[in-house]
Amino acid sequence: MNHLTEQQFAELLAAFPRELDEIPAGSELAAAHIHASECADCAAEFTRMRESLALFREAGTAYAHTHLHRVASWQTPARRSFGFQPAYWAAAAAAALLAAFIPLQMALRHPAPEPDQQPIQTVAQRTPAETDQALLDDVNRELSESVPTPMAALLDPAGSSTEASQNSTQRIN
Amino acid sequence: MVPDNIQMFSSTELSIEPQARSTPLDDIDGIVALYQPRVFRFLLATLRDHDAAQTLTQETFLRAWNARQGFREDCSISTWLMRIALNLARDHTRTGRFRFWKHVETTAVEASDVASSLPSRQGSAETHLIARQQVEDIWETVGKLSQRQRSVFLLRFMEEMEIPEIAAATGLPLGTVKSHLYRAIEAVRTRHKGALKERS
Repeated sequence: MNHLTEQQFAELLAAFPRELDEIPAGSELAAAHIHASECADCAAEFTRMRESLALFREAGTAYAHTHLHRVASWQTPARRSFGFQPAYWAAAAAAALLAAFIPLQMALRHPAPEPDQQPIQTVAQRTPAETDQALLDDVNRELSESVPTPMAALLDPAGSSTEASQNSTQRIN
Repeated sequence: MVPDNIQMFSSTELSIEPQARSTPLDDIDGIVALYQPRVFRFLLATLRDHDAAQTLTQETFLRAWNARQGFREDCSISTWLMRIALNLARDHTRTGRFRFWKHVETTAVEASDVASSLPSRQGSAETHLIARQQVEDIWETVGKLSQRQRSVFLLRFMEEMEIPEIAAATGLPLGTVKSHLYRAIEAVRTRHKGALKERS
């Protein structure tokens, strides 16, 4: 006696019980269904597989149900509120600080122009003749000096060298 | 003169806000309450990772909410949600991150954990042990199936969807769905017979 082929077995197993009841009589699947109910071996295997698949579904459902409680509660995007959320508050604080800091920095870098001060116009107040005379007097004074002012320190080199030697002696001692 | 009962609208005002079509997904709280267990169960059995299943379950409903105006009601809400979940799972498994974490398997679902969730019935301890072993065998076998075979198998035997519904959810022709389903059944059957021989 031939048993169910792999294809027939799979087709029968893939069908739900209510679907098996609706198989049109005379079809190949109907014949396979009849065989599965009459052949002891095929019937036993078919029943075992059905039970195993039912257990598989039952265990999977129970396992998922246990772990589903960990899923966070659903919140639609439109209903999300601005409650205490650190990211939002940190961003708001940073924006406020920037708003206060940037104008301050700009003010420090580009100070406002000070009011115009009255320049001291001593030279302008003199007449051209007086100015020329003063300049000539300065030149004559410089030329009349035996030692120019910048070289006045060189007139007494001994004095400064004595001080330097004294300092060095003190350091040695 | 314009009658008082006629309101005047500018053409801009009329075109700005078209009336939003009401959809069955507007009651998102009810939809989530009803379908979240199914979507989570399917994703958990498909991905075998708690964290990924939880994340993608949330993502499924978020996508559904955002795309609710595009829901044409040419299939049931359940089928539509499963299609979204299936696409998300497929995208997720394609990423390198999934492949890496699959090796780490810190949040992976073990076959023994699933089998131990089986409610105990009246009967001998041996019967319960055999039942657990059968669940473990199927869980492990399904994990080794190709992605399409696994999806089709789970949609059929875990979610109890009709073949046309599975075809709608997966986007596969009916014949292809049946072909994948029969191969998956054959793989499970072969393992089942082998385990039976070992035990006897």
